[in-house]
Amino acid sequence: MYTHYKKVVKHIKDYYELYILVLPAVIIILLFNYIPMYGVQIAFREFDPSKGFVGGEFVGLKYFTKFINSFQFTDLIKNTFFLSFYSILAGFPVPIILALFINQIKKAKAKKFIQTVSYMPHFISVIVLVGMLSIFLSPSSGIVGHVYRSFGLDPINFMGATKYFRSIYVLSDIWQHSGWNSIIYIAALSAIDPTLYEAAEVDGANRWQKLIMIDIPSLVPTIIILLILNSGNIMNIGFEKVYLMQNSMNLPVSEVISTYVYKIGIMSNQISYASAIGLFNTMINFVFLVFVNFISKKTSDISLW
Amino acid sequence: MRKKSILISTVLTLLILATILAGCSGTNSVPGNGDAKGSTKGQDVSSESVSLRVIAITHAWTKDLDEIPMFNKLNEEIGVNITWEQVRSGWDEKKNTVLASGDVPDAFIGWGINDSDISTFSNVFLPLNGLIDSHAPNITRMFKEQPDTKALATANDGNIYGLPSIIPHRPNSFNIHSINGAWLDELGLETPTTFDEFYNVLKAFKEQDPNKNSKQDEIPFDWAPERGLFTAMSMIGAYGNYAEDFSGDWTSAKDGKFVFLPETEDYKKLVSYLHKLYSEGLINQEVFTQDYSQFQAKSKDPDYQIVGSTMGWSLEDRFGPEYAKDYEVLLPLAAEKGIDPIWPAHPARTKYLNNVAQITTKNKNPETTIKWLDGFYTEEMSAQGYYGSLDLCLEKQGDKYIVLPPQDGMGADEWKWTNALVDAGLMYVSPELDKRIIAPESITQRVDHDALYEPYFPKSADMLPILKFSKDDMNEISIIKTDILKMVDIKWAQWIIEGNVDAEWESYLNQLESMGLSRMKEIYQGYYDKYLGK
Amino acid sequence: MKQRNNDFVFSFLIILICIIIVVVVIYPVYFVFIASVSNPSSVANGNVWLYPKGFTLMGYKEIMKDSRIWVGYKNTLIYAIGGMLISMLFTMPAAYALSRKDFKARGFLMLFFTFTMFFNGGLIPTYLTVKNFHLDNTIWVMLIPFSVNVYNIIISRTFFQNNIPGELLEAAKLDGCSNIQFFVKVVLPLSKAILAVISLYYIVGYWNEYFKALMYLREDRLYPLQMVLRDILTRNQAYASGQLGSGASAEGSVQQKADLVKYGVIVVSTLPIIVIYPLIQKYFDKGVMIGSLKG
Repeated sequence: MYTHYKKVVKHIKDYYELYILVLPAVIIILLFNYIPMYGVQIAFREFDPSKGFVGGEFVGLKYFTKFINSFQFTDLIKNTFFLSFYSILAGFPVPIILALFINQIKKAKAKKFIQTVSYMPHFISVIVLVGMLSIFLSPSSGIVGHVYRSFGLDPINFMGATKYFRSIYVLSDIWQHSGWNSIIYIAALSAIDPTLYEAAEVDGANRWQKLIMIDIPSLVPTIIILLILNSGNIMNIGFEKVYLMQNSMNLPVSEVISTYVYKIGIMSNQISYASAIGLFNTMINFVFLVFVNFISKKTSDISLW
Repeated sequence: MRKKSILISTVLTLLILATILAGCSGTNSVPGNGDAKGSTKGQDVSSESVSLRVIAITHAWTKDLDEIPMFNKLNEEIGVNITWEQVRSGWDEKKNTVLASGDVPDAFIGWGINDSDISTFSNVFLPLNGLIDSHAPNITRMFKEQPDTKALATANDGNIYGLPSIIPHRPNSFNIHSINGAWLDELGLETPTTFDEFYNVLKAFKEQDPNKNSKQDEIPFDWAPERGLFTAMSMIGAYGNYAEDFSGDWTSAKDGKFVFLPETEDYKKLVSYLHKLYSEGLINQEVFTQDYSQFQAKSKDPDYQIVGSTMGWSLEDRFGPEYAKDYEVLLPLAAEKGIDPIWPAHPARTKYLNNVAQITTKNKNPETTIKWLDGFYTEEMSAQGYYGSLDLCLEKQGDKYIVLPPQDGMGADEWKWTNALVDAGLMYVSPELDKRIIAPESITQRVDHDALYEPYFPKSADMLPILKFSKDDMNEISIIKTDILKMVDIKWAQWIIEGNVDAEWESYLNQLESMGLSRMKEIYQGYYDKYLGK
Repeated sequence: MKQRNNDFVFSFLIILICIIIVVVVIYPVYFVFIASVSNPSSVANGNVWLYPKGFTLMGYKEIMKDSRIWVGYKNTLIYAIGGMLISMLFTMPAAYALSRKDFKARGFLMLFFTFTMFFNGGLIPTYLTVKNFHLDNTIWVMLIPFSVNVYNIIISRTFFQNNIPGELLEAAKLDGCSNIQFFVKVVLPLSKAILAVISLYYIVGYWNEYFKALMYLREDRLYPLQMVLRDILTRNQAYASGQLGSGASAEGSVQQKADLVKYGVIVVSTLPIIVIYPLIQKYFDKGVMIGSLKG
């Protein structure tokens, strides 16, 4: 015990500076993220404002059970999961590929131009994006409709088709955010030691081979960490975009957990229930993250902790 | 070397401490003093005046409330010093936090709080019954002359927590079914009165190119996307039995019984009829997928008139000032000759506002506050409450109030919303006062159009009143409703587009049942019975 | 010879992809610009394609005439720049410390941080906590409590781990360099790329911040740009969903303005931020590390 204690003391003496470096962030997170965590209780209590925020009666898993037994439970989980999984699956590789190619552009001005252009859509607000989707995809008046008609085909009402909803959602996300998401990869690529390229040149590698042998491996740590982080979002589908895209025709696939909670909240203030649903959602995310992190640690030695 | 590290680490630590302390010291400005939008602006603050903090949830156009003359005048008369916190957007996201954190003001004004909030946060809102009886003569007068308002304001536990308003110049029905009169003339057609005649007219609109541009681009019939006020559901009265109650939930009443329209035979028939129209291209093929902008844009296309018949608030709202004169009000269609159709109406929803003001339990001066709130209900304040302050927006001539034309290049609507609380306001405009306020043309026209529908309104007994549920019942209903309405929305669209309602009807009803429809009806009927005094 | 052919195909592919990117990405962005100055009915009816139709500056006039916009811009600049500096000050040192494999507290602290990405007490308890520190309705609430973004810490940590060779640290230690000195004198200059990225992330985050302002601020004079723009947008959207219960009479022109403003708001709120990237882009150029290593 004593030797262990001595070790700890020595460690802190040697590394005290690192502790100082990390201190500000720890304080902020402790004060403003951990202190409020007492609020998580609300999912297990009957919200009663007269007793203080978390003073209500303890009801255990009442609201979790309510959610699991609710009529739409399976649909909500299914819709949320599929949309999210599809988003991650399709959306994850694009920024990487984009970064790899942009990195290959030789002319500095062109490179700058393409980069700037590619991330501009990121700033378009969701309201406008969905508005534009409606306009472009309108079978009667949108661009897509015109293209179909010019081929002599009957235009499809994309916004109303359950089988296209997820694709439209995901593809528009990819269009909107890939440029922005590629920035981190571009930064990672810029840190590659140029002598590696020189050595490869000497070995007779062409551009394609350089990309595969040097660029991609250098991105691997970043890719893996981001993949782990993304898997922690497996059940997170933000409310706004889906809500705006919903209509009577695509509802079977477009009703997700966040829109459901919103709709209940319009007519009633079920704070405990909403909180329980949120916590349920979060638990799934966290379990997934821990799992993926574990696998990653075992296979590649890269992990969050 | 070590000294430098110590220096850096000390600086960092001090920095963090400093920032935290800056917060804790509480030196930062608390709203309402000095630079806050002058609570003392334009006011004589007597030393005895009571200070109140009020959150006002208003339309985004409404200007700063302390710049509105009629309010400043009232504040001075009553002797209150109001610190306004005005929320123009994002209130829904903020509301629960404000109510749950206990960070509530002395009073709320505007359209921010609803019955559910009051039930859930019962510790926040003060019952007003006693205060009204003792200190609010104008509100008492309103309750006496229009007892419906008292019923509207009374919560499930018998207390009044939120004040109601009666606003002027309102129609009884939200919806107007319009048709392109110019096209009828152009094609030599009679105004349709039955479903069959409507079908034929729509067919002619589609095939005979009434907008004369050699393109078959006419949309014979269109309605608003999403379940709400301006959809084809208004036509369910064509079968002579029911009309919707404009709650957005497709509920109704008949002979003392609560009715859920989507399970009725008439609904089935209506859907079949609409499917027939849709399948022949007589309804906008994108009626369910367009957004509201597109819906409004189609009928105002600057190049050509496109829409033949549609639903909406008014001709001007749907078609714009240019095209409005070519359209006319279409009287309710009958499913077949011999039926007397019904057109939906709900004066309590169109003419009354509920929960426009509340006093919180944090308020240390409830008597003064209720006196102040009561001040909004005088005749003069009520006349100004909708259109704006005297001498700026309204002019008094004898016993009449004339609405003045807008200024600053604004339209009449914008001007009114900028200078008054309008649909978020406190006022009592009695039917008698209503006649003495002379409104602008577009508003009187809307009320005149509404009068055309009057012979077709349901009996008042058949209008489902706004019911006051207990918190637990409200919670239960909201879940059942969310599930049921989702199914209803899906099927409504699906059947109109693809048909097949007859084959699926049975299983649809069973589905609704399994979601708790009976329970929902039971709850509604219970409250309805109570309302009827049974 | 084969080498050069492969390279040629490769270059051709690059150019092709660039063209696709430009067209696919730029068209809708271009659309936003022209829609912000076109007749809104034409826009909604799909009649606006390559150039504005029914040119009008009504949307911009509508936005600019709200005097709060300028206060909004000012506040946003303060929050964005100030916030970014504070965030960087808190984030980067922490990320570096966590990147050191010999730092024993590393595992625990990573869990400590990552846990908060998932579990938080919820809006109301957080609000109450901020309130207890008297930070609400001050500029500090926009700068301090939410200044640390764990995602950014994690990404920065990854960068440090993979780009600061262990030999550098050993060499520095031999020279008697302390940890903090190493961080400031060696690590930071080598990390320009990640510093550029994270400051960009933070600045954009602060620039776009709307929700925190909505929840924690109560006075016009503190509102950032996004709050003002949201008010302006709402002002014109009131009829956008045929608001249940309001059924206010709407002149045709109101809806028109709504749509115009919707596009104009994007231009007004993002133009300044878009021009930032080209300025910091030079930090992403290849070989940015080259000098430092040899030295």
